[in-house]
Amino acid sequence: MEKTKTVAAKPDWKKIIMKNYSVLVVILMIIIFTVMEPNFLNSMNIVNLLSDSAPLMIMAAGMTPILILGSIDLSLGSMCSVANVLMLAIMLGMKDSISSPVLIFILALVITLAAGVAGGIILGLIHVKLKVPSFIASLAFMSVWDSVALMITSSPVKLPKALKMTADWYKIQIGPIGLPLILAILVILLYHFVLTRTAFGRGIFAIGGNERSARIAGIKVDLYKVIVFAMNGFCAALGAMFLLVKAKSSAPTVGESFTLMVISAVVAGGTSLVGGSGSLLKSIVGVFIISIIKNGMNMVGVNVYWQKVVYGIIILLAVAISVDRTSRSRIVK
Amino acid sequence: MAKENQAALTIQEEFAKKIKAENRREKVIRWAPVLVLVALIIFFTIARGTAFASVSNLVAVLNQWSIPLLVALGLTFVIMLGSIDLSIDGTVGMAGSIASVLVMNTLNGNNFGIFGIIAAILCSVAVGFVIGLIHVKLKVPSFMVTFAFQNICIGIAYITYSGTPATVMDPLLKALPKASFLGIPFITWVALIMLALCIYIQEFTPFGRHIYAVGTDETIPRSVGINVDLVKIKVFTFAGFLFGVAGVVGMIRLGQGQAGIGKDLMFPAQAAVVIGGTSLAGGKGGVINTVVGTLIMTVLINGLTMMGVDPNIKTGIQGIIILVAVILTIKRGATVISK
Repeated sequence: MEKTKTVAAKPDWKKIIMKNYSVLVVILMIIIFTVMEPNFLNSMNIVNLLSDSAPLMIMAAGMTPILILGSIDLSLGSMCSVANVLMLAIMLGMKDSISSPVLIFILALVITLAAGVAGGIILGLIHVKLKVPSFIASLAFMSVWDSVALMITSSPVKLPKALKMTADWYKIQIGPIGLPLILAILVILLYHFVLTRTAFGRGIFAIGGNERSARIAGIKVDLYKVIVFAMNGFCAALGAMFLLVKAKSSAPTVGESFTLMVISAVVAGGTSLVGGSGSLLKSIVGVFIISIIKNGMNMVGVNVYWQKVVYGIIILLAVAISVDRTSRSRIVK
Repeated sequence: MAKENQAALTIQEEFAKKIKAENRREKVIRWAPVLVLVALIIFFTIARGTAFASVSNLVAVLNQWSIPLLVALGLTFVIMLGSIDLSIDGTVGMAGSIASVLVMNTLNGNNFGIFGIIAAILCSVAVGFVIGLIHVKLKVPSFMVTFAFQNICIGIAYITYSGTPATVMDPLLKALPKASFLGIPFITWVALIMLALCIYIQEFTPFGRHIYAVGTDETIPRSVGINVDLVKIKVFTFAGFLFGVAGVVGMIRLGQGQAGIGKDLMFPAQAAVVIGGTSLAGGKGGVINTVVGTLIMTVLINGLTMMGVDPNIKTGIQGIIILVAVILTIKRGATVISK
């Protein structure tokens, strides 16, 4: 859709800057934080920053197509909490009956991912079939998942010693980049390929652009939407597994802060809330913006409480920049 | 020709039938919340007997009712516009926290008394105003603006006391939670006064009618010359005022200011407004609906606590209530697009 080539010979700098402002923001952030704290570019910190961004990256992969549809999922973080505590609970349950820790890990992961997909499908079906706006359906599900997570376990649980080895892979490094981040980027690239090179992907963009025409054109709008929500549940569960392995423990509130961070990342990357445009590659940049800000604020010593304020302001700025104001009569509610 | 005539007749009949059915449905929906409330009271009275239906529990319910009522009142006008406000948790916590560090407290030497409380409410009003301004002028969807402000305000609330929450030492403020007039707690009086103010605004001012007009179809009031943007900004500002009052009342009730005052207020408030019959699409419902809605939620939570239900399930129940209420009232059909 964005590939229509203009004949104009002169490059339109304003347009180029507006299109790639997120990359500029990343560069600007790196410069600012390096000036404020020279240790920011320390190789240890870079490794840290890159491995920290993996869970966020996975969850942003699920959220981006939802925003491209023009929908939103506010329950993502809570879904992630549920998957996080559920996975460890399953692992603990199987600990005595199965001897191989790797097998336990894989089985628990499969069940958790299935639960994530099921959660996504339920939300998608309620949104699509009952015509409940996605933000209100997911808002309700946010409280439901929070309750479910707290009912599975009301306090943090540690990974038992016998199973600790299943978390070792998280520390593997290939050059400066850790294995988790590589996996996350692979997931994003795969999903990006699906979104840009298949009929399904084009359908998602068409629905986001104009749902009515997409429906008339014969796209199975409802099915596509449910699949995107199911994929989001899958990504939330995968991200939850990353968080579990990283912390070697589970907590029923672990995902709480992620809803805000993921939406900030995707929107800061340049995917519009209105739907119809956006890209997973942009979301990679967006995730780095958020990760750099988070890491940089910690390095510089910014109060933890200020960080929430900063994320909120980022969302506002990013949304205000990307929102469609072309038609004056457009009604926004 | 005759055939056509017959068809016309049936269309007419069909139309009349449809209108009748719609009227009947509307009547049921209008009275459903009251029926639910009565059913809940009867259910809990049977289940818990005099423990539930007693004067002391009635006072307790009134006490628990006041803050949700204040919050839900502010939210009602916003939802009547067809917008939504997710900032509640933040603004309420922020107002309470700011108030606690400005009156006589354990954390610092401030002692501004009533001016501290007014300043705290003004901060919340300012947040509401900014939310309205960004929503209207930058055309950002209200749920996104308010979602961002929820987090910003929670952050500000933590920053005001950074670490340990301030305990209120002002003798007057310390005495207020226990004070009552005509058997009704002071805190409930504040909520009732605000309720009267809201009813006045809704029923007897042009502004109140403009809210309905904007919520139903904003192109119409715009074309007759009503400043729609101003109406919206006013509504968000007024909501900010009520959230601020709720925050201060919460601070007085707790005897302490902290961000937690606002925690878990949003879901009951959304549920209360929607379950009372104010449609999320806007233009329908009102303050009285919200009164019934908040009573339903308060009685439900009070009753569930008495029955010994796991507190962790309560938030989930609220989510399901919102979902069911929305599903029952929302417009459906092949042409409706929901995003």
